Amino acid sequence: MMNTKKLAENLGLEEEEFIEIFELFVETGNEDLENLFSAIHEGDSERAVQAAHSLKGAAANLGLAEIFEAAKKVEEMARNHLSGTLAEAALKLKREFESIARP
Amino acid sequence: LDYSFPILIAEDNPVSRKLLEKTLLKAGYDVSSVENGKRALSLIKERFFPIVLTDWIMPEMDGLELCRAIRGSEVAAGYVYLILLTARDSKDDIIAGLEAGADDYLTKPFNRAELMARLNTGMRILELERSLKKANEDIRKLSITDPLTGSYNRGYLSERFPKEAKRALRYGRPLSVILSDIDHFKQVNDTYGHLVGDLILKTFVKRLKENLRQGVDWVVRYGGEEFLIVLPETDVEGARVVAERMRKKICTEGAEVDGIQVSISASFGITGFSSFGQEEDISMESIIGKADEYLYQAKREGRNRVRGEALQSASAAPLPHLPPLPSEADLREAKGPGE
Repeated sequence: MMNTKKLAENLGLEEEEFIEIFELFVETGNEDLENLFSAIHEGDSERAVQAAHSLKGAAANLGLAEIFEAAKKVEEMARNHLSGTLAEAALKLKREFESIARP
Repeated sequence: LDYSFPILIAEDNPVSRKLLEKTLLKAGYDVSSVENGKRALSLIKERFFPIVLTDWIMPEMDGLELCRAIRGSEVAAGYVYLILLTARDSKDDIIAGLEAGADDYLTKPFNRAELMARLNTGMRILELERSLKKANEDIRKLSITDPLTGSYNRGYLSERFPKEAKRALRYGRPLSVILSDIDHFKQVNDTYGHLVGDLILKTFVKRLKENLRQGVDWVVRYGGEEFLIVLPETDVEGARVVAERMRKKICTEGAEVDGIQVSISASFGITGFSSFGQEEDISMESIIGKADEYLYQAKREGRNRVRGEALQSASAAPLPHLPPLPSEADLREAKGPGE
């Protein structure tokens, strides 16, 4: 379970301010994931890199370490065209994202 | 709250943008944000942002291009302190960023305390820039002003007059000058002393200015007690009216110095033109020289009076022109074919 109070404190924000930004994170994160999977499906590794990069950056900003690590792995794999393990890593990222995005 | 240094954020990631915005707003800054460099650039042209925080990788125009664009031209009203936000922390990338014109950089995800510290550095530099600018403006003002009377000095005259005359000639507009000189000023100085003389000069300029249009007409201390007034958009008859009004005011009101009423008078030489053709070229020396001639006429005829006429158009009374140099063909022809 995500400790919003602690995460907000780390960023020097009030809890409700953090939640507001977190909601934006969920919204854009869903778009990033959608883009990521359609890019993988089409074999468009450049677009996959972009989607993972965007999610990685957003997660890093909010201090969401698990999502950051998972997105980083996806970005690296897409960059190196490791399509076999890419799908697996993308699924892991999706699970990490959903575990906190859908409480 | 610090609203003297508004900050512009250029960041494409909505979450990062929002977080930066919130953090800076909370710290009391005046913040605006856009999602790419292109937007940032057009916003900066509308409103000045002394501090720009820009992401590196953005669609349309990235951070490096934005840095170069801001540095490359006079888009902003003053110095823009640029902080580049980057996830890249390799030396090469940082060097590329600084070479593109960034003043500083911050690695993402940013640390709040570090961000604030770097903004403080930026504001320190900007304060310095502002005080330098202010000092430069003060120096500029001093360099063109006569300290005693507050009128312009001759340096400024030779800088501004040619532009003023050129503009009037180009658009066929009138322009006149009044050259004024306090009568028997040497006697005033001898009788009352130089301190009183100085105060009289001040009062004299004040009287002149009372009869002028603010921000249009301007006064130059041309010599010791000689002042030149430039009247754009005014023909000689207009200048005569103004000079006459000045003359009356000065000789009826005189100057009061330390409770002593000192009566003074002044003579005026005026000249100018209404609308000469574009091909005309009137030098500053010739127009002021003409006013000077009329001023001495006023002195000769008993002082405390206004004398002067419009400048004669060169096409009406042509100046002696040198004939054009003969061309080589002309020379050959002159020699004749037989030679």
